[in-house]
Amino acid sequence: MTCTFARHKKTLFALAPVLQVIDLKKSFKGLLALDNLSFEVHKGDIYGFLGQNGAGKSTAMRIILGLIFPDSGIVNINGNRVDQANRKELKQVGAIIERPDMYTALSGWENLRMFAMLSSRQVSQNRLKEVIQIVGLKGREHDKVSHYSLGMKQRLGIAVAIAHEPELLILDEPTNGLDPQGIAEIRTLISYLGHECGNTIVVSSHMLFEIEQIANKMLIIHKGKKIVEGLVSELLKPEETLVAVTVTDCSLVIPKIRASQWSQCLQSFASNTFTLKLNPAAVPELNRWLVQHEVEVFGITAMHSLENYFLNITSHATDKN
Amino acid sequence: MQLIKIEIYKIFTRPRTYISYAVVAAIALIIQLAMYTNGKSFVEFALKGVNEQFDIKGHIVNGYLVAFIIMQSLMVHIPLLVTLVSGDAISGEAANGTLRLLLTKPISRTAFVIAKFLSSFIYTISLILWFAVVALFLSLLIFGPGDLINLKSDAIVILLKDDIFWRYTAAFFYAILAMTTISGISILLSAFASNSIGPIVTTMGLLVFFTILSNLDIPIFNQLKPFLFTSHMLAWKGFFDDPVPYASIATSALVLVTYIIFSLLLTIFYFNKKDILS
Amino acid sequence: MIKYILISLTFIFLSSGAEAIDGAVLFDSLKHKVLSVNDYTAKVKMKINVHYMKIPQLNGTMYYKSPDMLRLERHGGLSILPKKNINLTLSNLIPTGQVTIIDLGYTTYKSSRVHVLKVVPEDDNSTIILAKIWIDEDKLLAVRTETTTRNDGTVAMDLTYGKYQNLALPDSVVIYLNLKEYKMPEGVTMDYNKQSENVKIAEPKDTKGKIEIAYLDYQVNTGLSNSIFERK
Repeated sequence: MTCTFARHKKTLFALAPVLQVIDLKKSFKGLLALDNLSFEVHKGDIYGFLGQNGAGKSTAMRIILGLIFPDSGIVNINGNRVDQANRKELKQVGAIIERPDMYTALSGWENLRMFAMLSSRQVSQNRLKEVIQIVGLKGREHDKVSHYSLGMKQRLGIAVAIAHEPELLILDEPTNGLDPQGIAEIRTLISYLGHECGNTIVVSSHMLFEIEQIANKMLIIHKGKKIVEGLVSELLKPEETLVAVTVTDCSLVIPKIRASQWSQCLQSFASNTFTLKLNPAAVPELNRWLVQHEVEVFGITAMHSLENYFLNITSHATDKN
Repeated sequence: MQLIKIEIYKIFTRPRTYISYAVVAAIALIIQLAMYTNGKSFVEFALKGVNEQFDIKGHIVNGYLVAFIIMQSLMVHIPLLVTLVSGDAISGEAANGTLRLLLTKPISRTAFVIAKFLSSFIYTISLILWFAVVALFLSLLIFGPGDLINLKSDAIVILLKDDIFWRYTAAFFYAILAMTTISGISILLSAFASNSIGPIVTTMGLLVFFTILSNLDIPIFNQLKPFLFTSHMLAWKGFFDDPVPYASIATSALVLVTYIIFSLLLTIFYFNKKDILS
Repeated sequence: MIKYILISLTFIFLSSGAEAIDGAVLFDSLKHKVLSVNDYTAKVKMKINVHYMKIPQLNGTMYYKSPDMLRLERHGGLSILPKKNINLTLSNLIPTGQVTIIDLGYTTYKSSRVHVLKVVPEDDNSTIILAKIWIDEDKLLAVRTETTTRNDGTVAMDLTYGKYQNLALPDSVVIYLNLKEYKMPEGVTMDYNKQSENVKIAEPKDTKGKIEIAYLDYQVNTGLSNSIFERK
């Protein structure tokens, strides 16, 4: 794939956030969906937006895009306030909210062209062809959307989002409902858009492993409140990775573990699986030790660090409440 | 302007639109066939009261009469076809999920609503023009022109054939206004719903209910009648009266225009406040 | 002296006999004159004034053939004539066959002196029960008739003559009808109720209607074919 985006030239505002969300508050019929949510996304960030179902991720994204009106709070894009009266900043935004529903009676190409016309930017035919190429729909763009698979629709949604070369991409659950291959394809595409093309991307997903792979910053939201925000590299501690080892019989292995340098790492064990907390880099060493001590090993699995982190942090947040 | 073009494009690429045209043609053809085979006995039955004292002879079952009969479908059938498209305008987008994608674009919600109204208006014009072709021109082709007998409850009006075509032109223009009123109400209801069936059924329910109220001669309802849009939708019939009640028709037109403006403004007001959750 | 009185009485007797034409003779003369027209074609303008019919002036061609064939041709338009039994022809309103004449004497009608006759058909099956005719003796023309028919009440007709008076063909005829009520259910007709009709006032309906026919020219006794009257 080639990327012929023009790199964004707003160096004057390079340090200013592309997206700024300040104290967003929103209730639905008395139920608090967002509780003073604030965060910033800077140019070039791939910003992971994480939370359980119903945490408020979609609500926040819909507010940013003007689909929902906050009870209070401010959304700025490139320093300009975005609200019902001022929507022109949205020409700098491309978005997918949940699944990218298109007009099924029209072809992919017709949908793409139509939405491009509404973006308030001149989008040439060549650009549309380029975008079709980028998302991998070449040869299928003139088929009716009703004949597309879910993965193809997702890719078309991304094409619609990027056709007008927006500065900011907001992707809400872009891999929703896709098979593993589809997920991998979308992940690759998002990574390309962010790392190669320099797009600023806010992406929410349940697929924590995918976010871990591509995002440089993240925010975890729980029951409408931000509970953590920061660089992925700083938030996730490799040494706290949980590694599960499957053996024939734990009762034979655990005494050996307890007598070894691994004892402090031991977290839990059941009939044939025990769990250690250690840095994934130490897994080969653990493997050699197990072999040396004649332990029959069926498998060693590192639980994804982000998943682990997420579960820990949200369960703590729940306990506090 | 782009938005209006896109909305018109969407309407005219949907199969439903062409089904509407087909239904209009079918309504006209069925009535034309019925009148071709049994028109004479129908007319005899209809003129029974008059035939006690007068002999009316000549080309009674002519194109103008058949077209007039077909135009009675402006009361229920044509409004249904209008509401099938207009009732889907906003709620259909919500149900399909395309609404949220549209509203993430830098277009104001007011512009969006206006575009929906205008595109539905254009669809309505096209439907009535098509209706005019199959109802009037086709009837004239099959049956030929002639004097028109308009049966009212307390009188019969006979219009001479050279004095009829302009009346049909005026009536079709009025029909566009009447159907635009239906369209406006449908779109208003569509803004409240997240599926298409609700606004369509509700619009038709209102139409039927208010039509009954408009035609019942009960004192308590007579106070309401001037305010019901259904009382004024039939004003196109005034063009087939002698003399033509221009003042009444103008008043009726004003009422319908008021309904249209009210529907538009209320839709804009509500839609600008609505959270898009679909 | 007596001679003078006798001569005067004779003169008075002869004079009065010369002014007062016998009713039966008058009727026969009129009938003879009217029936001399076997057929005619005339351009007409017809205006129907009936409260439940709104009809503009109808222009057309009237065809008549003795004794009772009548057709209004409007060249593609509708023709509206009173129902068959109320015939527009004078010949049909003047009874034929054996009749009894009742002489009602003289009166003034529209500033003219007219002789009024009542004609009663002796045929019990005749559609005409009684006819009253106002006759201008000098011109031998019926200027007004009132005909009571078996099924359709009394039809009155006023006639005005011009250049065709020698054939007893009028220039204009006004026919007065008794009307039956006309009403259709509103739920069937779905009328557009004009604003003024939303508050309905019970208006008295006319029970009489009027048809005015102006005859512009006649072509008489041209030998019209029956087929003209058979066309739909």
